[in-house]
Amino acid sequence: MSQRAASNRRRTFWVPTGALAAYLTLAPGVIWVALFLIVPLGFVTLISFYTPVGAAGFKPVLTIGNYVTIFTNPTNIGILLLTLRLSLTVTAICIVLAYPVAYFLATKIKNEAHQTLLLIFMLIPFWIDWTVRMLAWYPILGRMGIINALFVQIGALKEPSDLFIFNELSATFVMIQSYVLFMIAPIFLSMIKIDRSMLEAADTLGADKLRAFYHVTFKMSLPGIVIGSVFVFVMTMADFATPRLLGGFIQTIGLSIAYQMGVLNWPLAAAFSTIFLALTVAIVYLMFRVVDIKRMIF
Amino acid sequence: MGEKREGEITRRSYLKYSAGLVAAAAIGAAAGYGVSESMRPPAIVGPTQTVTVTQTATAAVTPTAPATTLLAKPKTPLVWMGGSWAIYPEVVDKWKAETGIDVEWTAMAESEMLSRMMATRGYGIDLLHPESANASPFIEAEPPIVQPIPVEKIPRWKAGDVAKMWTEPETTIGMMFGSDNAEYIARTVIKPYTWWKGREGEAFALIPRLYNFDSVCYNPEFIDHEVKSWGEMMDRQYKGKVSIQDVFVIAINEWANYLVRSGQMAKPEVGINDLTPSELNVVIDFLIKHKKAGQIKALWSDYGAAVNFHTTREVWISDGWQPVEFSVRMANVPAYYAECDEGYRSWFSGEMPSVGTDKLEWCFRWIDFNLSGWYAGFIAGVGYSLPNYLSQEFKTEMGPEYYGWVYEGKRTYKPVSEIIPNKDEWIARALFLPVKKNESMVAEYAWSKTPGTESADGTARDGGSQDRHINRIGTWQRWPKYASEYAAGWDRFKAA
Repeated sequence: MSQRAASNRRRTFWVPTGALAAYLTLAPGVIWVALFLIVPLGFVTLISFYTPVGAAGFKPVLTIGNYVTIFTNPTNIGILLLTLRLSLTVTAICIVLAYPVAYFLATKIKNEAHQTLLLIFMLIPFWIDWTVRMLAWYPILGRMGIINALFVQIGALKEPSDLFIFNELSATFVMIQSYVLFMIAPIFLSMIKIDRSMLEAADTLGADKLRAFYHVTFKMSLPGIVIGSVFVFVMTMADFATPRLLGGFIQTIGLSIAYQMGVLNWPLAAAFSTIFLALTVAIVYLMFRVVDIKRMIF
Repeated sequence: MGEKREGEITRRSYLKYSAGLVAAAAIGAAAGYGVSESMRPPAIVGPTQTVTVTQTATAAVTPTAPATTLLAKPKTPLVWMGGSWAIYPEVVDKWKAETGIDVEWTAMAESEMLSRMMATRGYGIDLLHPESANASPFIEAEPPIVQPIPVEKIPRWKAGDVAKMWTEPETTIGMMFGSDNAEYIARTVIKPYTWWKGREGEAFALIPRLYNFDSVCYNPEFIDHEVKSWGEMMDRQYKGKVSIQDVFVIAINEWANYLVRSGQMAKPEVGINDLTPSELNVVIDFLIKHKKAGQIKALWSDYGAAVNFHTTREVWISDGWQPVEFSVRMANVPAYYAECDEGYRSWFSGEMPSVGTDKLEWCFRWIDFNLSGWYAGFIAGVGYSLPNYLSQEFKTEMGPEYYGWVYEGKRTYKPVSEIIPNKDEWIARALFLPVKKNESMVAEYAWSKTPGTESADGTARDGGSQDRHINRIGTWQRWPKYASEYAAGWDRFKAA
């Protein structure tokens, strides 16, 4: 019997191959994303063009009135800019803080088990409930807190100050603590992929340590920085609970959406959400233009 | 550009087929929604479930042993959604011990409750507990998502037991500010939210189960006199030590009340609790002025934050309500609750059965249980009041001393120096807890079950008797017509 005949006799059911197999493998994920992300976002965008009617009501009469309301109120522009400023500030500071930590973990800790252990240690604060973690900042940053006590003790302050809590500074600080790990991890993962022999090659070709770091290590870790920046930026844009609890009077776009939801004006809340989403997607798109993220393969 | 290999997907083909899948998913979702809507049973308007022993449901029930034997126990727990102030594990445990039925409860904001009810049409949910100011979307929803509660189904709501503020609000509430104040509150809030669509005295829409008189909370360690005005929060001697709440519909109402009652703002066109946009701007401008002066340290957004601001001594004075005061005292930090010249800001909340409930009679039992003498004693320890406080059951269950302290403005039989020794009296009174104890109290106060004599140095509940509180209601929370403008105004205040 020929090999082909034997092969045909063994294959008793149809197995998709090639591109069809690839599409079928992708299908569940795409359908899931479609049903639970794209379609709901589509509904939100649609509702943003509906006309609000009384409490918790809207009629399917299309209008751009909600967007006009938002853009003609200078307060909303200010809130949008503050939200962007807060998110970009937190992202930038996270890059500065996370990079050395990731570099140390990837290059100075040779043992993989030790690397993993240190990463787990960094995770420990996040085992605590979010609310408890936020409230734990009061005895640190508050007037009766440790920082004030220290500054008064060393004479830097004559009396406790409100500088450290209930303002943009405290909101920024707490958000950095909350999200820096999301920057450390991608940078670390991109760094451990760097082939050490490339650094040796750079040295052989006459590059000093700084040039070798910049042209090899830094440039090859850029995908990790971009991915981490996307994580931190998107999460800080959406975080309205931290500014509410620790930010004092700062008003973010998330809070504005929450307020409109609280008064059951769903079309206006949807309009805020659509603008917010468009802005976030645009900025993330720009971030992905910086590097080729296809190189970020773990 | 290389040739496409066998099995390789190009970006173009991926996008093409994914778009097809997305479109198919969207069509499938829309079709599925349509099918589910067509299969959904019609909404129930009014209680239609038959019960074999309705006579038992209207019979008097004892405080500790409601008549459950003739009503079949449901197989699933009661599913309850409502404000976090309205549900307590101790209450659920007591209910479960008496009835054998568990309560699956979820605390959430009214906007989330409404979203969930709209999405599910009430199926799978038995009871909602919103606050009255947010009740109208639930009552007016079409098709209906909640149903009325016949008065006869709540045995503990009976004439003679229920306070006049609920049966004759137009001659009772906030009379200190004139009969027009009482009439306005009765017409715009009490009657439309309590009674189902004009069926006054026949069926409840939102049965008043909890209510309170919100005021000013302050720490006597830093404030050495009785606070008598909301305006003291804006006194520059407390600059940077003040907190107000971040719930704009409530905060704006409070400050409008203060401005109107103190003569700083003209009487509003409709009412203090329902400002027009121009009136709203007066209040917002007032708040911005004080915010920019550094008067307000922070905004509190929930109960826990309000308590924490006081227990950490970050603020000395804030708006709040009695449960906040008691929780602060639990942390051994003294707190008073002020009786202000401009009056209280009041609100009430209660249950509404869902149209989708399959345990309607048990919903009625739960509501009635939460009007019992046992519950009255428990919830008074939290800082709330019940509407049927004239009931003999309350007096029996709570005992004369505790009942007198909670509802009649009477002092404790023991002097405060005996309850909380080694403290200045001004501080000691601000540390007393009616239920449980803090570090300063010698022991949990043992309320006498027999009539006794008030001590001249005993401590009384802040604000005095219920009647005194009711008389001093300056404004009542309601859903304002320009709610979105309230939100926008608050944005302006915060961003200023």
